[in-house]
Amino acid sequence: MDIKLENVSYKYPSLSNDSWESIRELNCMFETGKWLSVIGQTGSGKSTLMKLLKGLIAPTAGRLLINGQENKLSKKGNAQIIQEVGLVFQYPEHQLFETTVLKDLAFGPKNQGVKKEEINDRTKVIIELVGLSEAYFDKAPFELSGGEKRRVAIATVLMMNPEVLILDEPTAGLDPQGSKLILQLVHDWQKAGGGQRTVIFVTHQMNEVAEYSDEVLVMNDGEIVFQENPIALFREHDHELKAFGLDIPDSVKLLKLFEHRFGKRIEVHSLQEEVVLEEVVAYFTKQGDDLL
Amino acid sequence: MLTFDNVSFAYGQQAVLKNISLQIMEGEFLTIIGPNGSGKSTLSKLMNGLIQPYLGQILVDRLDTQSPQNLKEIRQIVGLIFQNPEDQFISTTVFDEVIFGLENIAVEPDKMQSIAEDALKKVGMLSYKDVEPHKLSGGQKQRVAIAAILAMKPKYIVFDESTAMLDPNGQKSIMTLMQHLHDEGFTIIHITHLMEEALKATRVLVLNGGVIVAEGAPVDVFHNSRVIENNELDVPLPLKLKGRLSEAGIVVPKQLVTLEGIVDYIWTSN
Repeated sequence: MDIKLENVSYKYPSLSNDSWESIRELNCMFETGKWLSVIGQTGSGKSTLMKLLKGLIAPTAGRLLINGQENKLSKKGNAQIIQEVGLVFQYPEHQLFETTVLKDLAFGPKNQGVKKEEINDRTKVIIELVGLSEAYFDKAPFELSGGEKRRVAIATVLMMNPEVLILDEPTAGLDPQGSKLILQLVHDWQKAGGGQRTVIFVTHQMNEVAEYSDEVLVMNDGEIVFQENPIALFREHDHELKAFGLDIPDSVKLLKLFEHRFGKRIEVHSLQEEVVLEEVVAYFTKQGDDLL
Repeated sequence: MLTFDNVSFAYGQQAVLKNISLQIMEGEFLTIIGPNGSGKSTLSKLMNGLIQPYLGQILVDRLDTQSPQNLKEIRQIVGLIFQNPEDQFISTTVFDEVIFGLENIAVEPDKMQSIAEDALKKVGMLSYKDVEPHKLSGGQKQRVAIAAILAMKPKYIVFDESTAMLDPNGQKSIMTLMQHLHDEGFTIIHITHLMEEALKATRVLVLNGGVIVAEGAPVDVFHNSRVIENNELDVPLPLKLKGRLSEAGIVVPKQLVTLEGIVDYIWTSN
């Protein structure tokens, strides 16, 4: 599912006259099957953009196109929830409310009118996908660890079979391995979709952006200032990013230090720490003799 | 000195801390890391008597946290900064926020003004003194919360994941402030999930399942791969790079723990 924004603005309603535009004239494309990371300082408009993409709010100006069609708005111009878009809020485990994991998983699809057998099939696949097992079905959510709760909460959204998955800071407050598990499971979910599943990933952690992103969308003060592949963005535009209060991933810092000191640019196909480490160490060893 | 002597704590039936013995010296910068649910936050709340151990004893400069008459003094000596600054605000202006604590400990009114201004100056927020707290960024709010603690003239400041909800700029500003405060002589106790933040400490303590499983200088703790793997941790990139280089026969001195330091070392040593 392609989502396209054309000159989209959103102004929060306000009783006083000082209502302000949270986002201004956004033009961008969220292409089917891609992993798009969205970065920007607090207050740059990221959360508003996510609400628009889910249809929780409607643009106050401009158009939102889904597969080329304008999102149908109800007669009053109210927002219309887009079923194909799954939204995982910040600290989503606060929204688990059923007595068992299984009931929490079934809640969403049940409301969508999905048949019981189909729900059963889905629960089995999804619980494995998030790194848990059927042994968790009868547990109460409060019995789980922080990381497990978070994964169940994400699973409840995956249960509704979204084509687009939006995650708003899904690793906040988790330990390093817990964070890695989340990224990995989202990656696995996307891969299992045969190129049809889109991930929109909001984070403050640049090292996470470096892991899987196909594209990075940078927001500043309500506007999109960059939409580019991560390698080009972080290697070429670090000064601009700094001006927007953003940082670059550690792996890019290493590449830049190397380039600065040795006057040699290492080309990489990915910014994943492992890939960059390997390339840099190879230079220090194999080709190191000519270099030094 | 802050002393934990065989401290245990439980929420209901669930043991959270088991026989913790720990000494924190004045002037230390101690970082506590460990997986979710390891007991880190519980440990921090015990430090200023917000909660009480069911076994063992905690002494803050020889004051027992279990004696109610000590609590007022203990809470002045040990300041606590939480994850979400918004949970901590109650006043309508930044200045009043800092004054509030002073009123509670009955500081003379004519001294309040200068104490509060000094505290705001230290965190770089004096020019915001008449601003409403909700108009500040996350990092600015956190700095105001720190100013409110500083005004109480504490010796120990405990940061419980105080950078977790901030954007990169906010995170950096709080880390820099923590280091300034440490340089000024405050004892810093910092709980975090961010491994690169842990490198700044003088000592790192790893908590898992309610027990201390490792402690030492950051380089030593992170060089112990068993500790890292068993405790849901990660190795910061500079130390990963050093590990790979040493496998390839290039040994970088132990004390170098930044990417800059390591790359410069290789550059200059050839």
